Amino acid sequence: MNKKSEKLAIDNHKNQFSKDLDILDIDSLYIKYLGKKGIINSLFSEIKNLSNELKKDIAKDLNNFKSTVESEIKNKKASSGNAPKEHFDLTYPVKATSVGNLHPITIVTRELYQFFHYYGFSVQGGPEIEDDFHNFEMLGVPKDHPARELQDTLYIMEPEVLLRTQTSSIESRVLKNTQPPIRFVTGGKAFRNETGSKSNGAIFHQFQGVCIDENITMANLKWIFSKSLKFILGEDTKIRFRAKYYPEVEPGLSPDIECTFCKGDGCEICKYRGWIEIAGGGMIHPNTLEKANIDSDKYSGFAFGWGLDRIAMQRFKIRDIRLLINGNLIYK
Amino acid sequence: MKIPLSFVEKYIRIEHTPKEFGDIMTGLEFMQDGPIKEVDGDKVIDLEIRQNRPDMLSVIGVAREYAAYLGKRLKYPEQIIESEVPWETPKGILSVQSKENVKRFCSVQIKDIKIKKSPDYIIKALSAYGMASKNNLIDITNYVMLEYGIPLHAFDVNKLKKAQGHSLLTIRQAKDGEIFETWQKTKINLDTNDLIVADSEKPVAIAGIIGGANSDIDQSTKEIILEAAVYNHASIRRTAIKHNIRTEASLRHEKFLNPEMVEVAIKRATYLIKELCSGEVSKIEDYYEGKTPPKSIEFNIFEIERLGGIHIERSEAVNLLENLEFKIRDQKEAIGVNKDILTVIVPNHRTDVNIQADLVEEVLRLKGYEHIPLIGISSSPPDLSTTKDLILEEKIRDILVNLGLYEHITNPLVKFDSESSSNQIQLENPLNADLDGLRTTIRETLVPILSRNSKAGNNNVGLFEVGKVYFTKKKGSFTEERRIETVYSNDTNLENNFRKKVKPDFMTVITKLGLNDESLKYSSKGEHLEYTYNKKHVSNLFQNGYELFTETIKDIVEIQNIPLTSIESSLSQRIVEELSLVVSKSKALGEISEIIKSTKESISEVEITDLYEDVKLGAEKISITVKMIFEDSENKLTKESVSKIKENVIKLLNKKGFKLRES
Repeated sequence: MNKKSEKLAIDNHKNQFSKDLDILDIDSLYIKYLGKKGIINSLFSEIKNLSNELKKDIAKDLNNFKSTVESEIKNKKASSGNAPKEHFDLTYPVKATSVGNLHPITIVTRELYQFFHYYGFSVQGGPEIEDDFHNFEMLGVPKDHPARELQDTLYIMEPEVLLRTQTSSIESRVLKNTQPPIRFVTGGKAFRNETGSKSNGAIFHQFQGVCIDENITMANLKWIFSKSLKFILGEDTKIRFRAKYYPEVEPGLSPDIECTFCKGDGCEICKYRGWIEIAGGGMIHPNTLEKANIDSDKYSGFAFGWGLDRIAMQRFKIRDIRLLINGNLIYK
Repeated sequence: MKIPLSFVEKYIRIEHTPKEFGDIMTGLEFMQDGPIKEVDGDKVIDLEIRQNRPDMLSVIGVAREYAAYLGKRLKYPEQIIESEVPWETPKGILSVQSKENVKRFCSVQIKDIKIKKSPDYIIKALSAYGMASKNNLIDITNYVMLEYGIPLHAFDVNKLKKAQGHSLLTIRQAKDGEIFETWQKTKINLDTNDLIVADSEKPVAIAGIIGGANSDIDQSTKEIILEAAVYNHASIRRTAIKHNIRTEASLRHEKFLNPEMVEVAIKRATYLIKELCSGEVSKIEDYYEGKTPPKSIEFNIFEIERLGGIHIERSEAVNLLENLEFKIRDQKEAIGVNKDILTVIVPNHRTDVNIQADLVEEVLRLKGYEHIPLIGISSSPPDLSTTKDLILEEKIRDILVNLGLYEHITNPLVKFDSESSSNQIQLENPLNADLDGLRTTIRETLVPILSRNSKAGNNNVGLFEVGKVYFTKKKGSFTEERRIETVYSNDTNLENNFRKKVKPDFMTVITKLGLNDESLKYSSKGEHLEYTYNKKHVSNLFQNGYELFTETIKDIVEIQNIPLTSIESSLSQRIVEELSLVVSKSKALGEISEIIKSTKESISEVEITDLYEDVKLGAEKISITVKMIFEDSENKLTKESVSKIKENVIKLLNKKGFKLRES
């Protein structure tokens, strides 16, 4: 026998094996190729008859073939369900992989940005250090106006430099620099000189929206409130609309949602109302439009503001508003 | 405002359950606040009254709204009839000096009155509201204030100091340093901004806020002056805030009261005094300059639809307004006028109604907001104008979250540190002395959260916050900047964590923004490295975190061009080479990549893969393995060219003190 013919014989066996692999069951394959009297053993026994010069190469070839057969049979075993396999414990107890997390306020803000973007609202920002004009005067609350009582102010330099008490200050700035049609939303911090409680933070987050064009009405405002509240809190959210005074709008409107903690029965979180005051809005006051050089006979517009903290609390069942900024939110 | 329902029923019969009553008032703009309480068998409902409606700080105000809802009229209480009062007004009672701060001041003198206990219905009504009964006279002033929302005050005439040629009462500005003692015995140091009522010598009341001990009504009182007034609300508000005295009176005087209502209230109180304290009453002395006719508004009823989005018939609009006691001037005489324009006369108690939009709200809130339909915005939107820094921030948030960081929002108020930072902003009126400054970095408010995480078992965390920092550059000039800052826990090995997590994360952020080592320059600032791009400050890298200056990054990065990944490099020729170097421990290893990159050869990555100390190397020496990846998209690298570059690199490194290790 020369090297070539011997090699050919191994190649033939190889070809046959790849055919057998599909046809024969595991036991038959094992007996035919790896059994005591199997093909591989008989081939090994033939090696000793070869010349020394060939022995080395053929043996190597045969060993390769043997390991191929072994691994293929093992693979076939593993892929067939009823075959016995190595113990692999899928019940092994583990801790979930830690991943990063956005802050609840960011999550709801993003969802709102996304919602309002769909309806053509851009996102705008503005300063937190504000002046009296943009924070109060332009929004219908001149100095000494009784409505100043609604917003205890933190001053940097009284009376002109302050920390904005509401994100409506951004509305003041955008309106001054833009002519209708105007559509934007904004979100950010607001500051009050008040002691915080479970439901009212001294520093909190507002989300604000403005839409000004011809023929914008309270029906549009109710629609956008209803759409967006259901978008963020769920389709089955119960909403009621009622009149409410805000100095920068006329008429004023406030939507309440049914308290998700007590389902309307009244609890500490909803101050026993059964409803949670979640937003405020109305038709932008003609005086504000005129201060921004927008013709209030031609154009009308709505503005609204939400407490983002309360939305996040409702969404993530957080019972104390202060948790959102005191660092005690632990993500796991 | 606490409203006892039996009090309301004196003026209108309540046809609903207390809960329904609360819902009706809530819908009308006066939200029920807290549960309905039971006081002495009476139901008391608490309503939120906003600053525009001082008339609603009264039981009649509430009854009036309810009557409007029912479409009925309420029964107003009895008053004294002036023409039946025989006693002419005594001369010289009043002198008004601060005319700019007094809109109206009415007074009545009453003699031979009998101070005693009030009848039960008054005591009960006051107690349900939360006021203690004192005596029949004081109780009447409070009772009428609750009825009409107009505060009244009584002085004991015999306690007032009188002087020849001096009025009994003078309404004037206080003198600087004038001391006043309230009936609660609190001493107030007044100044010229404070409006007072004085006798010939001294203040006897801070106008519209609180009465004095020196003229108080007591058991011995026989003769009084009863007054009701309307002042400049701003003056009252400023004084009340300044001296921190908030009373039932100041609560109302700080708002826009109509001077017309004063007369109604004093006539009502006089009626009750005559009935319950007996005594002889004088006619009213009335200081009233600048009396104006009732407000009238030309109201185009189309405004209801233009602003409200709901069509309401003229007749219905008229009806709703009339239910709220607005009067519609008869248009019959003016033939040819537009029938859709109504001339609406505003009732005296409604100081909040001034323009057409106010009337739209009146019509709509009485109709009920639930009737307004939901209609989508029909016009096409303006161009999108979202600002670039906001888009960029969202991108960076995503990168950081992908790196496993937790986002936090912390309180930007911190303790003002007068010692260390000259550019920190201090607040003038902090709520808390420990929170009297604004932060100049986010890290300072973020770091404390690391230990809270570790207490909760989160030991190896990175935190980030997107927010603002604040500075004052020179006196009276304040700025704020948006930043993104991160901090990482380092409970194991600070340096190890820096090399394995903090800096790699930082490089990821930079790379994901399309910036890289070549475009960024760094320089050491002691505790941190400062990264710049074309001399613009982009970032600071610390041992345990980094700051990103979004306001400069937004000017550098083209958001549309931020690369997702480099597709070319995965297809290009790639050869990996390693160098083993021995260097002094104090060397900045960043220099290695600087040197290698400076060759401008096709080396795409430089990384230190191994680093160890070994005494055999000599004192203060470390051994490092540097991995270099040669890349060429045109497959032009050969064994020879790579080894040539490598030799050059070795030579350059050697020159800077990075010696090849002899193996």
